[in-house]
Amino acid sequence: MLSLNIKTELRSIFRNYWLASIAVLLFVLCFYAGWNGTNHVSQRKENIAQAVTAMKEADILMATQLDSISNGFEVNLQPWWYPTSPTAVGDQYPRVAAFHPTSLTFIATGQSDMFSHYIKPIMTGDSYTLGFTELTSPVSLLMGHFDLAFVVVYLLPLVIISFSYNILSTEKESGSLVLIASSPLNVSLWLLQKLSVRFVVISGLLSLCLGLVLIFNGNNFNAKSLQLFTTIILYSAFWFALAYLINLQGRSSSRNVIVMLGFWVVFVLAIPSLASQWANAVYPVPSRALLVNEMRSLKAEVVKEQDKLLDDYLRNHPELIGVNADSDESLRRTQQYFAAKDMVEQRIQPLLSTYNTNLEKQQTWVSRFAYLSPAILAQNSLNHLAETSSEHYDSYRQNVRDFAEQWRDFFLPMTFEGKIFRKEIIGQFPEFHFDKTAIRSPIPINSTVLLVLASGLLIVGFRTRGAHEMEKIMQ
Amino acid sequence: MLHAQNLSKEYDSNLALNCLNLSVEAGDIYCLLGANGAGKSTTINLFLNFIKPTSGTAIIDQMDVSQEPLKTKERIAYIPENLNLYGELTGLENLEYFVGLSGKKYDDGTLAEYLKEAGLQANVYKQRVKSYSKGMRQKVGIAIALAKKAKALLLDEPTSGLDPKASNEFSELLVKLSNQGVATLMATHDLFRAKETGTDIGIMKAGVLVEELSAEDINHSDLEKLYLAHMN
Repeated sequence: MLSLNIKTELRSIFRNYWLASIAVLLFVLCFYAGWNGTNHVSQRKENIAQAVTAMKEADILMATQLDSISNGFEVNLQPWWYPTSPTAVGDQYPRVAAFHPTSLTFIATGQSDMFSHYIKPIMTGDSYTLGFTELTSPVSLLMGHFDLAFVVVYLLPLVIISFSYNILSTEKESGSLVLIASSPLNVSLWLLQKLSVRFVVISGLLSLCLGLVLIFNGNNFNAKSLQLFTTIILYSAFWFALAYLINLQGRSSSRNVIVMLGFWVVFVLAIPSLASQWANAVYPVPSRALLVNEMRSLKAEVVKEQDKLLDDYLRNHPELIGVNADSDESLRRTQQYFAAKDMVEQRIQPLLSTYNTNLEKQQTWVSRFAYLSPAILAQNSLNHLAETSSEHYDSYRQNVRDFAEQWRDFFLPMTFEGKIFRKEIIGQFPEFHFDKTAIRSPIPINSTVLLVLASGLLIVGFRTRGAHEMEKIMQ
Repeated sequence: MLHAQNLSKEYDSNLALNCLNLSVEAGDIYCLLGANGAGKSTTINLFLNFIKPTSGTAIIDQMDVSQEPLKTKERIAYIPENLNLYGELTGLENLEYFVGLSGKKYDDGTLAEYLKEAGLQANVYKQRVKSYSKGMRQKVGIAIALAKKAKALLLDEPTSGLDPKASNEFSELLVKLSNQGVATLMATHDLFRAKETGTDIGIMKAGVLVEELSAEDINHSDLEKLYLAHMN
């Protein structure tokens, strides 16, 4: 029966205008989304390239100025730009800590439009505010623009619904079901085979569209592409399995489509929205304004006790005691600044910790909800493949914070020891490397959950409407 | 071949069929007459296992339909009032599909022979069924029954809406199948066709088989009078 069903279903599908319409629709959607995503990535690449170019030009200028100074020429610059000062170099000639897009970034905008793709940490900057943002809506951050992920997560289920909601009901309404049901076959199995053919046709069409979009974007087929196709196929399988269960209820076409659209609203819109609102209600994050105010008042307090703070600071950091700063007012002020800054960071830590803890709790809360919605699972996997997930940006920010400390620690001893910055030191600048090894891939577990959900729906459908339970279908 | 034993069906306390007993042996054409809602289609649906009996048993070839739904369906062919085939497929492809669902496989030549035997013109075999008339579709239904080599034929008002010529051709095909030993149970409103084609006639009213007679023992006029007498 399988080969006969496949042959007949394919004949019916290919002789119908429906397939051509869906094929055109999928091609248009995928190519537009791909083009849109590529534009977004190009902009990002351009921004990073501009920043890197500016940095290199500044380095060349700084080297020229240092050469001039060492040759005894006078350079007309403000003190905070003077390149012999380590503090000035640490502040005015920062490195670009960039988060470069990958070849698959164009598939999912994810959080990439919410955060900077490059940060230039400076020596006197507050590392705890780097890339800081409030998580007002974790799921709205999760979802992106009109990209391939949007097409897959939001629109593909609608295409599947339009292609599968009435398989059994149309047979029933047209009268051909009675002929089928009078044959010695299991209607559940027969329906499963028909749906499977449609699933293969849609998956094949979508894979073809995606494959072409990937090729046009210069991608090679590799493990990541395979994960992309697997995620999309499993997500499609879930919607087809849901259609199978609903078809087997034996209701009318109109009722089926309403029920399936209801599920679409629940899984794609309602659960993600509820998840973020609930997370905000259960784990409210302290206001960022509060954090900034707290920081300012702390700064004001510590300024009053700068002398004492510097003594305490140097007691804790004896390696930084190099010169007698008492004789140099400017150096003393710089030292006091860093001592005070360190103290502010220590004192702000409890508030920052509460802020971060609640953010983490929100993320955990939202990630639990993900298992209630295949749409969140699919989006999460696609964001991970595109490296635009919240985990990637969390990791990036942590890498930048670490680099900011490394950058400051590179200049701080020179500042405290009153050393002169020389041209040779430029080559010793720390460089930023984004270490992604700590980012855990959610794809294996997400794929497993999607597979379990799809299989579960198929099993439930198969068990509830077996060969001996035709009455409800035929009524 | 087809036996109903104390067969009853109740829908929400409405008795659609009340303790039906009938037998259709190989070669018989049993015509069930009755007004709308008399229980004719319910009887057919019970033999097809589309619905479950409230009590009693429907038996096909000595097997309880409820217990052996798939095995009993291997022995039957069904032609409803409106035989809705797949419009996008040709007559030949529809025949291949619906016969194939019963596990039988033929080459195109053999399938064409069955269509020819059912009286379909050769030039329409490869035309899409959406262009077929009702009579042509019913002939494909007969071809399905022939190709399935069904032992029993269940027909639910198959000649309804057919013109007299097509209706007559259909009846001739039924007789032909009957001569091959096929047992036929046909629900119909057509008294004339029942008398002309049937070997046995049953009249149903409100779910009860109120009259059962041999077609040979009654003429058209008496059959009509008897039928109307039961309907009043």
